[in-house]
Amino acid sequence: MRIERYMKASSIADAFAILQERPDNKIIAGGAWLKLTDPVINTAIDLSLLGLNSISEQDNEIEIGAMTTLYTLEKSAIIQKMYDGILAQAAMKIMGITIRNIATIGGCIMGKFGFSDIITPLMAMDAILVFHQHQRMTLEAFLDSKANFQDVLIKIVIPKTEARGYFHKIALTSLDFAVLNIAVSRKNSEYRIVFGSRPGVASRAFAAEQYLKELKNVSEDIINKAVDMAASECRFGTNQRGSAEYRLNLAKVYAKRGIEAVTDYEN
Amino acid sequence: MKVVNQEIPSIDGKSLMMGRQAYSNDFADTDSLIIKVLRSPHPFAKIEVIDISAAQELPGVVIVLTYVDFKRIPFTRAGQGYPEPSPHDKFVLDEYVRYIGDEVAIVAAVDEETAIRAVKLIKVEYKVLEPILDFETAYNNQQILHPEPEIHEMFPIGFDPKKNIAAQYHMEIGDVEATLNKCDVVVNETFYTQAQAHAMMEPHTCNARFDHLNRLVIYSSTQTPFHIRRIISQALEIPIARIRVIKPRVGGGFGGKQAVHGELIVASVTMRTGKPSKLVYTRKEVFESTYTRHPMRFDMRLGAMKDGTLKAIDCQVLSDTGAYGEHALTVFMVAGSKVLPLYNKVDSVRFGGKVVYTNHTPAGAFRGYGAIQGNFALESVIDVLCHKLQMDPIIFRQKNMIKEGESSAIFAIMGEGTEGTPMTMDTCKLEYCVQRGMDLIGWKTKYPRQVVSKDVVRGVGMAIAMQGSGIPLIDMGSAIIKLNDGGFYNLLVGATDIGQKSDTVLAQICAEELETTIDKIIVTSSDTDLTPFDTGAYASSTTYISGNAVLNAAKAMKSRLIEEAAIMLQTTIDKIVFNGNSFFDSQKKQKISLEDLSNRLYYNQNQKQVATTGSYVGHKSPPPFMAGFAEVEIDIKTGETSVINYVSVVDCGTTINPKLAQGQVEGGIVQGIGMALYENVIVTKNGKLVTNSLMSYKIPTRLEIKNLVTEFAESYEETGPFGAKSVAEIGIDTPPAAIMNAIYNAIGVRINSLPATPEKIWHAINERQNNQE
Amino acid sequence: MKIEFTLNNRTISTHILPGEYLIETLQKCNIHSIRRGCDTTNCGVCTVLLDDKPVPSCSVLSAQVDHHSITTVEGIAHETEKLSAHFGKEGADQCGYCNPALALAVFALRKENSHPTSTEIDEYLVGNLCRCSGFKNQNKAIAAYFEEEAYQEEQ
Repeated sequence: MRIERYMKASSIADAFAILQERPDNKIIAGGAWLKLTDPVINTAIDLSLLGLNSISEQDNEIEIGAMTTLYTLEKSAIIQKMYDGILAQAAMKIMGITIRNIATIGGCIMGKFGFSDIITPLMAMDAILVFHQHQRMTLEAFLDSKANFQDVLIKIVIPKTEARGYFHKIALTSLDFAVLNIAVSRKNSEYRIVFGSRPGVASRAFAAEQYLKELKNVSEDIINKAVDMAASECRFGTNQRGSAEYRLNLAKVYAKRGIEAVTDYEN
Repeated sequence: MKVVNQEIPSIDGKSLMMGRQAYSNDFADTDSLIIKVLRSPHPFAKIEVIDISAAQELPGVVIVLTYVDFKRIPFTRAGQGYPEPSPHDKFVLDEYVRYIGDEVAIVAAVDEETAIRAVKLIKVEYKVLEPILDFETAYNNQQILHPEPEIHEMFPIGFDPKKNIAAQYHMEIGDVEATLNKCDVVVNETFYTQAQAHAMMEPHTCNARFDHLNRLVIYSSTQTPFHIRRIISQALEIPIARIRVIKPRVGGGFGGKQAVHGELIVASVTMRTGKPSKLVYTRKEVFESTYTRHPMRFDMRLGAMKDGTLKAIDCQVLSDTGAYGEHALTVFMVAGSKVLPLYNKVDSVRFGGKVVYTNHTPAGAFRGYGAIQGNFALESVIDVLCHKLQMDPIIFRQKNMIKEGESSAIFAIMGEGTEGTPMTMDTCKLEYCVQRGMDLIGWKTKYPRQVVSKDVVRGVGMAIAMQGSGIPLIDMGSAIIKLNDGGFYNLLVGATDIGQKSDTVLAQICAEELETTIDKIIVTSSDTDLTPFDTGAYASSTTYISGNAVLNAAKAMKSRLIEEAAIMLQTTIDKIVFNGNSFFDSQKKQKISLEDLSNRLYYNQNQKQVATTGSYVGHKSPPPFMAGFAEVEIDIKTGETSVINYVSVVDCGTTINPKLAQGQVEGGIVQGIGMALYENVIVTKNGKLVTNSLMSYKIPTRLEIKNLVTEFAESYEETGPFGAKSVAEIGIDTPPAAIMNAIYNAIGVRINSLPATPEKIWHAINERQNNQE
Repeated sequence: MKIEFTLNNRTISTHILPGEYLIETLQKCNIHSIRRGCDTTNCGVCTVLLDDKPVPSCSVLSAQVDHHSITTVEGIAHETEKLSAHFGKEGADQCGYCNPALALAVFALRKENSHPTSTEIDEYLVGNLCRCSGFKNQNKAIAAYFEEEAYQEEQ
């Protein structure tokens, strides 16, 4: 990793303009994994002067600045409350505090990392990304977008709602990346079932969500059917942390536990 | 005892926490050349062309060395006594590279960036050779990894490189086949252990410079400064008197710093350039290019009678030493010699096998040193046998295990590379350890399992273990005690404090004998110019061997002081009473303080320096013993497993410092838990280590370790300093077997290859269910 | 490029390369307590406090600390001494290589939470690896330190 020039942007427009100048101009989100990459960065753009590092409650939404660190996220009373605190739980299970003090939510999203523990709960919370150029965009749409996305992420917006949530990360040790992570949420009859670290980037089980939505009451059989649908809808692969077969099993076991948790279903 | 067996804070802990200059790299000259090593990308290849011109021409590059720059002197990096029981099969640099990470070329430059760039400019044409990556196919493979004619063994160790054998051994007491034929029950099982990484927090590092006398001075993060000095002299043909090796504080070793690593490289660069140089291993180099634990396969057979009498043990081992044969024979032998005597009442016991070369990262010394591998196999298969006998594994062990006053024929037959030393167990509190551990874990209520919920089950399991206390007639330690004016002492020891806090323990032994406090004992360790010889920190030898040396030196000092006091007080030595501070003549009712005596000796009267030397070589190696009990909690749907309790009851003789001894045991337990559950080693089919960083190789964190209970048995080993035996390694031995036994007791599946990852356990649960259906 | 930052209450003005990491800059400032452990932001050995928050100095660009404050154990010597006494009592110290980083993290924890539970201590320090101690004596020492500090404050 080499950096030719370092500059602190004076405004979002300024950051965006520099970003557009060359493809090797990059925003430094936190820097946690920067040195593990091997690019030459022409201009490293620092957003720390732009006040993007806080969480605020608006009338209808919660706004999380893109430069909010994972540690700020997990300590935020707002985040700890919404969706039963799944985003805070996910953040606090990421590595150690030193990394969580530099890694930002924006960095977690822009990296589109397969192992991300942050994208999974955000997807279950219907997060919307606000960019300088692209404006508002759903998290899913962003993840589906092309690799070279030269835009400045300003904030992440989560619609305010009364909702239940479940998050679980399965990892070999507390400092490892997830073998699999899962988030399940429920707003009335609207469900989200999201698997991350499959090892690919998080994906939703739309058909299972739809199936649950159409039913009035859950039962053991219904949950089992939803779990099977969810597991067959999402693809699981093999890497050093686990096989596709094992991930599929984890997905089923924890999707069931997740649905049971958000529906208060007791077997 | 006033100082020994007391919980005294370590003498250097405060300074280290406060960040004082203390470790090898802190002492590197600021203008050191920075060394980087070009390493092989192939598991096995011959260097056909190596072009260093572009690297040499890069401004800032001072020297580039390849194999053509070194005389072909085979040696072993093992860092053992001389002659070594390891084959001399390594050259500083060779035209063959034998594993991914093997050294190809050395670059020294004015700064790190230049050195890294220069390494990339070296052009190498390799003739890629077919590697051996499966150690079970190495023996007699048509591919020979060490065809070079110069390599040799130092004395017979079964070295047979044409068959890819670094070492081999076989022994049999009684007739195993005949005994097995007569047994009511015979079990046989195969076990595999992985290439565990030491993962000490300080990466290997060393640095060199010439002093004002034009001598080569090396600071190194090493466990064996005296061996390092000897090996540098032999391998680089530098007169030994011209070399000084200083070991400052070391950030953990666990065996990983017993061998020579960068020392030959910094020595070569400084010798040839005249400039100071330093080499700090990257974490990737620590993983790929130092050592691992020897992976092993065990084929175990046990035979017993229906009443639970164990009759025969057959233990056949295949060990993977990787590309070079460091510690090949001795680690493999310890897998038998410090394990099999646990069951000393058998009619027949057989042990044997081969240690083979492969194109993996070399294996070397690692805490437990074969005993942990052997313990996992034996203590697992004992439980398999107990299950077949339908006998409580504790009752079985109580019936068959070694007890105080007993011996085993194995002690006389198997040593470390040589014949063994017969000994009886003058201290062996295993019966107490087992009984106490049972109570502490709550065996009676918890064995074999407890159901916590629909998906969660708990189980308990246990294992017993033994280790050694130094290598008899080989390991030697020595100490010099010097009295200073002002009445305090210098204690100079070659013993190597690598973070286990041996300086503190040795100071306690010294202070106890001299009836003083440890603030009066200034410890220096280790510096080949200043401190006396010691074989180093390995084989659980420091407390027992070096501790006895210190005790001998302190006894001599006490006698000398009494002699001098008698002269000063104009009386005879039998009239003098010394209480650590003052000398009293009871008849004449006069006294002199130690402070006054020392001041007079050096400034005024009967002037002379008072200094004494003590040394010690063991005539036996009294084993510490322990019983380890694991309680595990398993999610039967996912295989996720955690150790919720680990109870250790240890007989290590007197604990010189109970808190530090507890630290040794618990540090070992956690590394053992790591080996049992977390430390997965993944190598691609091309021989590339995937788990080559702390990101991918997972050691236990403080959240994985739920509850540890550690106690010591009352025990006093007559030959040890103030009754002590060793405590450095014993803690690591039991977790693999105890945890696998606990998993079996919880869910009825047995994991025979380490580590037992959740996925592996889940597969085993599935297999069991499929078999039942 | 030039940066200015506070190091242990002292103002440092220094030239750095744009891609330079804080650990390198601090070592040039003769800070010995910051050591390398892993190269992959996994071990915690290089921890420093950036505006009182523990961060890995191997992964923070020096350019990022311009006009910020950095603390190393040299800057909290008194607190470190008190903590080390508890480590000594519990036999929690072994090789010591990770201990300055651990002391900084404990100091940061105390600023956030002066009465942490045993679990909260472990959760806060999980990123500070140790291969020697077995962790439990460290936890006891740190808990004892918090207890004593709380007691002192009440007096």
